[in-house]
Amino acid sequence: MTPPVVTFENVAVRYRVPRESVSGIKEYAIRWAQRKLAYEDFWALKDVSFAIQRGEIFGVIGRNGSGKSTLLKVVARVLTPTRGRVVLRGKVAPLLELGAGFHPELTGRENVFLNSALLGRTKSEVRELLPEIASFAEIGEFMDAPLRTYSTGMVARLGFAVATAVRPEILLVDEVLSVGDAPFQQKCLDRMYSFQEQGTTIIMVSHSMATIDSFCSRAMWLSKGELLALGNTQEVIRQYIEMEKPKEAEPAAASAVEISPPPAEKRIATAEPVIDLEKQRAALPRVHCIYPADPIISVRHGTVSLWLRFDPQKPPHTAILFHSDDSRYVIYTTVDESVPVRPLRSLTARAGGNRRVMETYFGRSRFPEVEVYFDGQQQPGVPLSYGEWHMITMTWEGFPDGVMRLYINAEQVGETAYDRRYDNNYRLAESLAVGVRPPQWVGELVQKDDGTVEDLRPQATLSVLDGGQELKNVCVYRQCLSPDEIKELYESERAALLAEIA
Amino acid sequence: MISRLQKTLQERSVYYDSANRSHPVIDEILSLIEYRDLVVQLVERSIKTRYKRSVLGVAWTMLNPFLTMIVLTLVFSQVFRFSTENYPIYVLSGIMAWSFFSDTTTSAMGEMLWGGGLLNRIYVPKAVFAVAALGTSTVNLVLSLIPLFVIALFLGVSLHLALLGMIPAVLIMGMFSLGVALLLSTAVVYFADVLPVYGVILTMWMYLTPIIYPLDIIPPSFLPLFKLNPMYLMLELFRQPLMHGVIPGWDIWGLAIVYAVASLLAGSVIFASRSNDYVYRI
Repeated sequence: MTPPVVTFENVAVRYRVPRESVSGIKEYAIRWAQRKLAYEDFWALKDVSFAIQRGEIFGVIGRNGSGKSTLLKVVARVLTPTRGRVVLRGKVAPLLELGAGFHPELTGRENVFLNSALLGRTKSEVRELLPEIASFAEIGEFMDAPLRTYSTGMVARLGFAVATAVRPEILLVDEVLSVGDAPFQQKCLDRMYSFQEQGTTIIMVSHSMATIDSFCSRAMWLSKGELLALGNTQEVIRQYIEMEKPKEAEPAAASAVEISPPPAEKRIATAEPVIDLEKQRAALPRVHCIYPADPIISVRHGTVSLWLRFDPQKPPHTAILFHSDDSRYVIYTTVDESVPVRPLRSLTARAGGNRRVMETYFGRSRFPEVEVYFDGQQQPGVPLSYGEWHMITMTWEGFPDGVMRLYINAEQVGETAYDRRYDNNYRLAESLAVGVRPPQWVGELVQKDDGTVEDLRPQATLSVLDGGQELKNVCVYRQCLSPDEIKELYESERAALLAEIA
Repeated sequence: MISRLQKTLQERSVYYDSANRSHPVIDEILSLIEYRDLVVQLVERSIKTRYKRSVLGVAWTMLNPFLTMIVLTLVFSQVFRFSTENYPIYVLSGIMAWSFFSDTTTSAMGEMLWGGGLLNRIYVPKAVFAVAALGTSTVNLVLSLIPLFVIALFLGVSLHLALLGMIPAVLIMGMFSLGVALLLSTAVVYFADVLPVYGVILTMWMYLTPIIYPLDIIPPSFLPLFKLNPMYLMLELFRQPLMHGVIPGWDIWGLAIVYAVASLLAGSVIFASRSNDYVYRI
């Protein structure tokens, strides 16, 4: 086995803070003479030991002042450990604050040279990298304009392009991924993942548990400079959430993290699914309700089936299976906004859909989704008529290479495969898959700068909303039903439905 | 030797062990060699940005000492009536050498404070700022040599082979300035008021050095003490080859070298021994 890329052995870092601020030479001299120079020792890291292997994406979580930044600084060689030993195998590239060291009066090109030199590159190296940097940053003819004429986005893009122009062995990422617009973030992410594939180790610090959870295979939790947990990301996050929650019984809780719950109007009633163990099926009879997803659904494979009747008098824009916190639809319809009568335009089935993570990092286009367009709108058109019941079925058949399929009236109308590129050992897709959260989902517990934590977790695991269109027989299956099984289901349910109507 | 150095540098860039590092001074020197292009970039940056928005640009580097010289010549040769031969050359070369020293030391401190924000985020050898300040001053000095020689020829000063003596003179001045710059950079990290205090000291020091006035206005009883001033020695080394076509004697060289070596040694040892501390302070 190859030696770890990053090794920390009992690393401790001490900051010496003068007890009183001594700002002037005179004051210092007097105090020195009086032997009254008192320091307060503050240990930002206390005996921290861990090792990171090549190609890992490693997350660091903790509250403000927990030592996360100090740890990154030690890896970046900015700080030398007071005690202990740090061994790094390979070049470190810090992606800490993009554009640090840029000079406003210099042109983009000159800044590229200066910034690259700050990262330890030689001039001849940079000359070769320059065209690639310019094209990645999408700066164009601005390359020869002074940096003060750039927009913030351009500066950040240039910063990212320079920082990542050469694949480093160790990449440090500190909350910088909110750079630029969605397509550019996509590019940044592509580059990070391609680095990782080639063996780069990535160390990531973020306040967002969702980010850490999505990207990192392993994580560590720092609190007041001590390593409290190390290992599987989800396990570490679970412990973190448990411990950092304020304990109501203790008066000391006031100083602990405050978690603000979601506003009351966002809460939805809960209901129990009707579970049919034999058929591995759960019926969700009530609309506008939240159901616990865990016993119902598997993120690896499954089927959602429901009947819809489109009524031109009802709101056409409708969502059917839905996650409450940030609109993770499983199946939804959209309207054609360009026409005054607003007919139904399309029906979409989508896997995943943690909009915050996905949109921020991947852009909209990467959702595994199947979309069908109604007749006359666009190809391929599917003839659906108003006033009639249609059975809509969506299946997914597991990771890593699952294909998602959408059926209307038991006819397959579309399919799409998951895009594996952004799955970190498939965990991302697993967590976000098909709009269902794993049982111990902890995402979106977002820590703010003042130390409080906002609980942006969904109150629901799975919920049904109709959005106005009529809805019947909403069922979730643990298995990915085959086309034949769907046909069978369609026939039997159709018969029952017709009998009911009659 | 060179290939061994290259190997060491290569190893340094891919392997880091906090428990197994060379002596701070060696470590800093190796890092500086590794980051040599950064020094060049920083020098380029300060020369380019200094006159970036002005019409004449880098020409100011040459014009500045020239205009100062005209003012000082007018004031001192007309008002105070110094009878020094070729006074414009005397004062211009004096100002050039003095600015070399004062610019290096002051901007090293300034750069160190400016670079503080960077040192907090990415690894760069900390001495890079002082070395870059020295580099900038050297470029400025070399550029202003052009008007100096032009004026010298214009005034009919004959140029001798002794002029080559200016090269080691600049070298010694550079060593001395770098040493002082490193000491000041260390100090300014701990006490921000070093910067204004040093400004006052520089003014005082300048008037204690025969830059604009000739040495003969100093009472003879003070002369031995006066000649201990390192800047006086450096100035002699720089000025004599041009003014009189002679290379100063070994007494002056010897003492100047002692000052330069002592300053550089003290500066680099103190700077390097504290260099791990800067990040906490800046």
